[in-house]
Amino acid sequence: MFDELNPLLHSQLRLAIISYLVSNGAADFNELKEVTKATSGNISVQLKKLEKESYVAITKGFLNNYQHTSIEITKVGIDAFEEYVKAIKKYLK
Amino acid sequence: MESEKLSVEKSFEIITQVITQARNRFEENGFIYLFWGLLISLASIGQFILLQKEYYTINWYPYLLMPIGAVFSGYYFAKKKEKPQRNMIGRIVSWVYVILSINMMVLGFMFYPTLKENLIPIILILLSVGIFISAIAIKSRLLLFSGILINLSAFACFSIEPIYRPLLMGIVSIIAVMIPGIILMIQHKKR
Repeated sequence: MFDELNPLLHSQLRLAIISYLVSNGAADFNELKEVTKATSGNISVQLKKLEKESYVAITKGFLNNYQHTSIEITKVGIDAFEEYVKAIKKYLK
Repeated sequence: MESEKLSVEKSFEIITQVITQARNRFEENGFIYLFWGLLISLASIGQFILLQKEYYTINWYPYLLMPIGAVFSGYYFAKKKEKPQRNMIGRIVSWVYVILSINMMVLGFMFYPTLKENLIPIILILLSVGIFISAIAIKSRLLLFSGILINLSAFACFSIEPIYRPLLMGIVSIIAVMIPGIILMIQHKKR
């Protein structure tokens, strides 16, 4: 029996963001932009969706007089990613 | 660089490792580093003071804190083990520390007459090994720098007078064990 894939993670950009954060713990907005090659607008929208479900924690502040956004993975995010990987594993068996 | 083709199993193995690392990083509350950083600094600075005051026969007494600390750590990890999230990497790291601690205590309490002032650099090298393994397990740059600092200080010991070696170990354990413990604790509380 196949498990349902988490729809929040089953999107290319959101999965890329979560995967990067699981691997690195945290990242800033520009880093995510560089890694995913997506537009700022698209990343913002996807981050809001992930933040709404508490998968990531977003901190806004200033760094060298420039606005700086830091994104960190949460425990909920790690758990969700792990479940997603387990579910996908079943499809590939 | 030639890219290696990964099998499905290998890919999942790597992903699982990354998730485990993330989980360990998340669960690390820094307490054990704070505890041992404090204990080592108290013992070694205590020894330095006793040597300065010329209490040569009892200068090692502060290290009696170590077995007490080891018993407390054993109790702390046993309690932590009850949590279902404890994973293989976490267990390996805990066992590495158990083995390192036993070796440090055997060296300290049984081989001091042979090793004398060279005991401290050996202890620092063993400590740095533990910190390096922790750094890899939770992918922490902070602990990696701590490991490097402890490792370098072990070699620096050979270029200072033996009487100052306990003082150096005390300062290093504050900078590279206790302070990272406090930082990890703050990071953990923030989450």
